[in-house]
Amino acid sequence: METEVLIIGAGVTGAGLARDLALRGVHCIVVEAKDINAGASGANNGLLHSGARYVSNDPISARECRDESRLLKALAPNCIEDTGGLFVAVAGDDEAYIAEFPRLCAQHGIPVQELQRQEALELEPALADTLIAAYQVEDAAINPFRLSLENLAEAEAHGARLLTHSEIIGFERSGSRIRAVHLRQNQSGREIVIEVQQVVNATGPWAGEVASLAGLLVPIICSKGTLLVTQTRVTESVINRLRLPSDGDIVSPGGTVSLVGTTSVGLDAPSPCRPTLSEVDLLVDEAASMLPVLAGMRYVRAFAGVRPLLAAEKVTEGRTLSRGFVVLNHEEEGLSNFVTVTGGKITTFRLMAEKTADLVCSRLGVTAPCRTRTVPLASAEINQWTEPGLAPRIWLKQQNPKEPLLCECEMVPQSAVDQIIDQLKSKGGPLNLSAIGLRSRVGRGSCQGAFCGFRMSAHLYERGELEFDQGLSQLKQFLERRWHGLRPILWGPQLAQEELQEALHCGLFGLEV
Amino acid sequence: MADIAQDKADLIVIGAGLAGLATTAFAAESGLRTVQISLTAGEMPFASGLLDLLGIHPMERLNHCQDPWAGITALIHDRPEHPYARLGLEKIRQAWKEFLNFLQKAGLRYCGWPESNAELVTCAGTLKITSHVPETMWPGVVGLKEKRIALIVDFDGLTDFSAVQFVETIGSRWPALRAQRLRFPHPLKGVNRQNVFMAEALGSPRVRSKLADAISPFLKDAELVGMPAILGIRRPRAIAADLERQIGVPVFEIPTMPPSVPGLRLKEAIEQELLRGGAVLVRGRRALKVNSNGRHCISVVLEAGPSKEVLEARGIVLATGRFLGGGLAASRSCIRETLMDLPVHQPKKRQDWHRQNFLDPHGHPVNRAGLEVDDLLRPLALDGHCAYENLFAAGSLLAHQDWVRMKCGAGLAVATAYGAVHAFIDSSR
Repeated sequence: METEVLIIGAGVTGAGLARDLALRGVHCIVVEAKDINAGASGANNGLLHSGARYVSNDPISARECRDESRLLKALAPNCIEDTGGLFVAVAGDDEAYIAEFPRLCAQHGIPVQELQRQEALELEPALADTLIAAYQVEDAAINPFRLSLENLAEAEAHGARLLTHSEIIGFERSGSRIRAVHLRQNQSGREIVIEVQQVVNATGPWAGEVASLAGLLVPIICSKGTLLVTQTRVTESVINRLRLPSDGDIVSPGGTVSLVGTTSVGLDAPSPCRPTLSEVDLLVDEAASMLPVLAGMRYVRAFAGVRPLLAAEKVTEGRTLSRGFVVLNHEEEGLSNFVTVTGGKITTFRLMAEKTADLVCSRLGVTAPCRTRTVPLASAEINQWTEPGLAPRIWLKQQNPKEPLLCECEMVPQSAVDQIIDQLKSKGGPLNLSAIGLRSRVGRGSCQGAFCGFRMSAHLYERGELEFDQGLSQLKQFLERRWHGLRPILWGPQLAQEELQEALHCGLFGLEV
Repeated sequence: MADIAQDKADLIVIGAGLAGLATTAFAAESGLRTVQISLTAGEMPFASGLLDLLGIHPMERLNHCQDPWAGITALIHDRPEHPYARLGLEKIRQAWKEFLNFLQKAGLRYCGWPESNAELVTCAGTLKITSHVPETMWPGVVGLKEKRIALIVDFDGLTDFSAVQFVETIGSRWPALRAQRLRFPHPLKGVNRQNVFMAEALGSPRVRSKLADAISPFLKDAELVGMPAILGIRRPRAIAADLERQIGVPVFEIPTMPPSVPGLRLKEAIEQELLRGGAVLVRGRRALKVNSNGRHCISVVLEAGPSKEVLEARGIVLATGRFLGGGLAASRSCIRETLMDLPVHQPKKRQDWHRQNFLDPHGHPVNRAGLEVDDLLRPLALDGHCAYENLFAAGSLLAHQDWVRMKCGAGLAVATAYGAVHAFIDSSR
């Protein structure tokens, strides 16, 4: 196999880069150790920042967010719900910061409008009575799964290739160049070699590990962020706490639910991390001071992601590090065709891709300009199943009583699952419950896979995709993975739901035996 | 008041799961004037309909109990805190025997090996150990043991059961199986959870004949036919017999996901028998409060539309279940008993409620939380003595048991129901 550009990492940056290069006519292959959005891209609050959050401590990020969010709203409307956002302060919050906020926004050209207390409460009735200030901004919600899937789909339509579940095991060097990349396909254990002209390391928090395989040093600081998913949506718009960025100060809509985030905990390595009970308690308590309803809310899941932060100077605390990104050309370290792009955030993914593609193209001698600033992101029908709340709308409209639902919480019909299975098979990727869940809403509702996990497994047998007792080991794996997100939020009705789930999976099926 | 019970009741049972039903049954059989109260129709649709006595002990070693009674003897020795140990082997045996007889009287026959657990295959294709199964499942138990040639059928639109999955998953233990997808010979109402509609439809002889016609062409060498548990809500044996007569081989049911037809069947049959015996069943009413006078409970306050209603009794049994049933409720800081705020034995902090892995063989400590009781199954107050002289507790609400992991749910419900009723009778003499 060979390619002009090998992109390592199928998060939103790698996906955006693949599309950018493909639109410039450059051939690329995206390799991913796990699956799409397996890292930070799949574990964030789905927030398209207006920039207002960064006005006080990260002005470059603030301006980048301002420009990029406007572009994306125009070019990728299918991935965005333009909810608008509020910055709110409650009694006890720093009044100096509140007073400074509109001036800082104006300084960076970020539109902001002060609201009277009553206006804010009318817009968002769930806000606390202790509200003392509210400003309206242009924040929005973005669906990170759809965003990556659409970018990759468009790239593939222009000749790019995606290899998931393929891990980098080494780089073959020839002088100052990487000549080939060695991969191991996790399913088959087979090793493959891809001859390359350029390599891009877009592995987020893993950028340091991947770079070290090429003998390079990329100092990454890993910062864990935990978020909560509510059972029902709490607000119409994104609610930010009007204070210096801290824990539990953003509540963003995610279609039919709300996401409450985040924490910031330093990690030694980007190892898989679990949300903890103390983080969950911190988030609930902090967010409830803006939105009291969150104190008694039913949460269906918690999740944690790892932010890749850039280690600049001697900074140790995650919050004060820049949310900006870097494109490292590694030339001083003696490599002329290896680029690392890391840091950043979902709002600036397109810009990260553009800057990276500019460097790669100049090295390749490609002069075609970046087109992602002007060409709308194409939308493939199959990717719509990632959209929260869409499946119930379609189902109600079609009223097809012959069409069984495999996931009742999110009302995902069998035909949608079949479409996804067919697509996964045509690409030769592994076919399992997690891969299907990533590309749809299956398993994301309040049962968290207790029922649909089993039904999906049954359906895979029906289609002949599973044999012997393969389905059981898949189901156990699926249940153990979802447990990470459930364990810290098990109280109230979700604990009752969990009791039912254990009675089914252990009491009846005996999966633990 | 007058419309619920003419006179003061002997016993009020709160809760309509298996423990509440069994308590009411034992009380009514003993001639007590009994009133059973529940807000919901109970959790029986969630019950598999299998009667577990003890399947696993010791739990952490995942040791299968071939003989449940030997298992219970060992459990009583190893875990003196377990509710079974409060009762002793003989009472549990007596309770079990009387309950099976009660079910038979109610028209539901259960089958089991003498002094040995039975093995059957669930809808997931996994093996389940249990003590007694509905007689409509029994041919499957025997079929598995003797590795008979069986045809397993499933139905279009019934997403909760796949014959192919069943056959593939259990294949190494029961190779002589074939799967066949059929179309259910009757129009169905909903989209999902079709099993209850199917069970209702099979009450009709015409639908049964059509089903037999649909099965017969695929029978070939099959010695028996397995299907999801849909053989009627009432009279399952007669429905099975009618099908068997038409297709010529035994038919067996396979336990499915909730809502479970065998669970509904248990509820229906027990409730009908209780009503025949004169028990008063109050449904859709929330028990708000228990009134007491010193160390005696005297009455239960029931929600009655906008007002309230007070029911007096000489004794009360709490069979309100756990979190799903509503007997326990958990906040972020602690677990509480919901009706009377009785002390709940529980792990010290939420951090310790659940283990890191869902399938950890040690089970989750939160599942052993619950009410602590004395030897008469009376909940304890903080001082370690019974909270009230005439308040008893039965079923999964009790502490120091993990019925899901030990596979002792029905046994726990039935034995503690029996224990509570007899403790009430003995103590009120």
